[in-house]
Amino acid sequence: MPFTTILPPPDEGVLLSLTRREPVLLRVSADLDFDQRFNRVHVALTATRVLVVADGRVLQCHALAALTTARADELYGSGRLVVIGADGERTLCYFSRNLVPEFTAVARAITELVAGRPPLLPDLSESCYCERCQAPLAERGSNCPLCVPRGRIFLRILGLMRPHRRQVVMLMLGTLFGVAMQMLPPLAYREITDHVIGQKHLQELPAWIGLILGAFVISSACRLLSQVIAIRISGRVVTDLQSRLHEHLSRLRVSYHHKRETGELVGRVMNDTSELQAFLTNGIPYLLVNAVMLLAIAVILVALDPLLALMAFLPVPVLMLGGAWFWKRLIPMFHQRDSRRGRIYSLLGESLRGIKVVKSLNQEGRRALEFSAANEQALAAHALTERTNFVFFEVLSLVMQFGTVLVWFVGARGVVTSLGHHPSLGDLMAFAGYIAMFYGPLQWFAAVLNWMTGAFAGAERIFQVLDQPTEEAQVPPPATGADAPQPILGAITFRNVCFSYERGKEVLKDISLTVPAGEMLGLVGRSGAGKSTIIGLLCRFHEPDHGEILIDGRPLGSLPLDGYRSAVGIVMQDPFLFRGSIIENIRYGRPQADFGEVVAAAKAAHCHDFILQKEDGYDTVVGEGGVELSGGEKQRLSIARAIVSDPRILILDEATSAVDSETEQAIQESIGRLVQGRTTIAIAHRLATLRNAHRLAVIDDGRVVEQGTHDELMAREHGHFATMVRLQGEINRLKSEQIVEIA
Amino acid sequence: MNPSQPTAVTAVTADPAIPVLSWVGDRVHASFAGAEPIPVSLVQARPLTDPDGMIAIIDARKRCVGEVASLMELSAGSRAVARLELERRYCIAVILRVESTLVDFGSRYWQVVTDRGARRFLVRDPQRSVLRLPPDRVMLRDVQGNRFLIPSLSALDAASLLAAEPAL
Repeated sequence: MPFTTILPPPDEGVLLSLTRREPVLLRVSADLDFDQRFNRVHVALTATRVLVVADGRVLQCHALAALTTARADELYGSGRLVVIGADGERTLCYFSRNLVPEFTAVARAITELVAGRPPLLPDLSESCYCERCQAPLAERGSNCPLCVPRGRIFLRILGLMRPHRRQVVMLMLGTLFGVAMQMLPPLAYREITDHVIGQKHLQELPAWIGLILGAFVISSACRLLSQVIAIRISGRVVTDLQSRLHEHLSRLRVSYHHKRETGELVGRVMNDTSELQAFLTNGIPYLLVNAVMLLAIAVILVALDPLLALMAFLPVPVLMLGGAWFWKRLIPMFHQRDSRRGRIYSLLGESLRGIKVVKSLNQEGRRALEFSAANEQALAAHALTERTNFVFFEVLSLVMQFGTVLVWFVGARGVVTSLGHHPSLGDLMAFAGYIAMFYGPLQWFAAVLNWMTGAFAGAERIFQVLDQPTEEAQVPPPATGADAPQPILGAITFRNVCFSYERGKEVLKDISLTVPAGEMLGLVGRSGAGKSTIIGLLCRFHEPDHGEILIDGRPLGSLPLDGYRSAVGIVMQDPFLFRGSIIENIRYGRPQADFGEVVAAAKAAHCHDFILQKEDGYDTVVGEGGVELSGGEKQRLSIARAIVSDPRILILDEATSAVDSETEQAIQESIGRLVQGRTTIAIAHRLATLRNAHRLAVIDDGRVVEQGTHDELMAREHGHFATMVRLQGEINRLKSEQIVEIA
Repeated sequence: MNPSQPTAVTAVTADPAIPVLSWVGDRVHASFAGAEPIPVSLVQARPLTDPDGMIAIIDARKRCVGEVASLMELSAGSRAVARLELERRYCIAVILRVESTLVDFGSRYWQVVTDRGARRFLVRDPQRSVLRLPPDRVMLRDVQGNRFLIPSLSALDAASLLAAEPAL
């Protein structure tokens, strides 16, 4: 059972002795004691009692028969579990915010037991800590970035290049050949020094010079070729990946997007892929080049002179360990610099977007000061990063020079004195040439380990998105034979539906509603009551936690998603228009609609006239960067879009709340035509606009608190709806009086 | 009742807008102008910048039914009730020592010792979750919504400051 915590021995013993005759249904450990210190306190629930145990003592024991309900309160930085009985409220325990879902479930289970119902125990096995390293996780059950198996990600990155196998082989061959060519010049220097100069064989000089030149030219050509191929492969891979990510993101559930900011996802599509591209372009080819070069040079150095090779290798541990040490300190500085730069960008953007507000409140000077302060901080972070970076590379260069100096010192003595090891002058020249080539890749490896971590983290985030199941994957395959898709008539039933965006924070509680096909249901209630969530569930943006939604008597989850969605039309409070012409926007849901249908829809939605007044008529480009439309105009276009889609189920989510009274009247007329013969669910704050609804449901705190026809609800003098109508009438009357007074 | 819970108190204040606070079970109740006490929650209007300032009194329907400019406006008994309730409601762990931090591409892992015990937590999006408050206080909000306060950066020991700096 996932909902069970193993208690420490003293508490386990106490619990066992208390519950010998009755099984413990669930037990959960809180991480704060009554003084709100980080200690363990355990709550156990049996069929008759709820117990609180800590430090081998029973702190509280309540008979369920004496309780009426329980709840979990979210406090500032913590939470508490409260039971309510005849003598008031009792706090059972405190817990950190990490455990809000667990204790909300405990509270629900207590409430269910108190009411004599079997408790619903959700699976909360997904922890907010990594099971392996115990590091806190950003999201429950998500992968721990600290435990990401780098090897597996690396293989997966390489897997992205599989469609470009031939080019990858060419890249590798070009790289290897280029490295081989780079190895030749130092050997040629040795021959020139020892043979051409030392033994005065001048006739051999042109051949050696030709060899050196040829090696340089071929090596450059190979590098150029490798780079071109690498850029081509990485560009292709990243472009494909961005397209895949974009498509995948648009196919994920709305609940996935609900938890994430748009900026974060745009960052994944653009920044993480760019980081990966940089790694594919400048990382993987050089990884190969430098690895091969390092190995080849090490072998050549040992072959040339083992003692000198030992001298040359002496700084290697310092370079590697020192490099890793430095990079560990540099990376946070890069982050801080980027973060402060980000702050400047956001301040600048805010100043420009809010220019009218800034000017109207005469706050230009304050904004300038804020910007300057942020700019100074960014400069300080930049200076610190650059200074440290510079010191880092200078220190590493110095360490490298020690190795070179040591080789020259020992080598030169050997050449002159011919004592012990006595390399020739040519050997020493060649050695010096190889050392210069040897330390470069070493330094690169120290840096690339951290660089790779960044690229891998980006790749991991990309793979996390791609590994998310799409909506289609979560929906059962379409039925066949007798259960073949049937046309949707539009009868809607919500049966005991519960839903929460975040585990433990229930937004809808036991919602039951019925809307016969072709009828209109009005949803009313305060902001945040749960009306839009009901609509989100109806659109299948989310799945209910409990209960079911039926369409024409069939479970919504069993209907093919694309078929169902095309039967649903939605007109939102803030209609979204895509960048494109008006005609494209109106027929967005049914691109095959002909111009006649578009015009008919535009006329029905009262937008034909204003469209024709635009210079480019139906070809007017709207949306981002296009012609500005008023709220009412956008709203009417979205109604026209819904008409063209011809949905069986129509959802009107505050469709007229953002427009003036005159426009509202026009839109109401449009809506009046639109709803004819369709099942409609309408949310409206202006209650008068729902007068034509067949039925109304009042939602309060996620529950249906009242249902009935307009007249039935108005007849309840102290009912929720009648009170709301009365209040609204009062407000309207006061507003009218104010207008008259001003006039 | 919790071990540290004071017994119910009653008091009368001259100003009818100033409530009398009392405990009924573990729930604070407020009575205005001698009326029947109602269950309420106490909320600091400015928990970050002036936690000792205005306290709002919120009823069960989440409506503000009263407020006091500071706890000093309350009678001694009500003040004790309010103090304890606010202490319980505002759980802010004060960081005494920063053991280590790890910055891993957007995530900042903190290992700290607080006045409530040792804790490891994760902060993301520092622009929103790391609040620098005058003169040099820092309020951290982890990914779960837990709060951690560094009362004074300059008062941290050198090792803690060195560890904290990269993650701020």
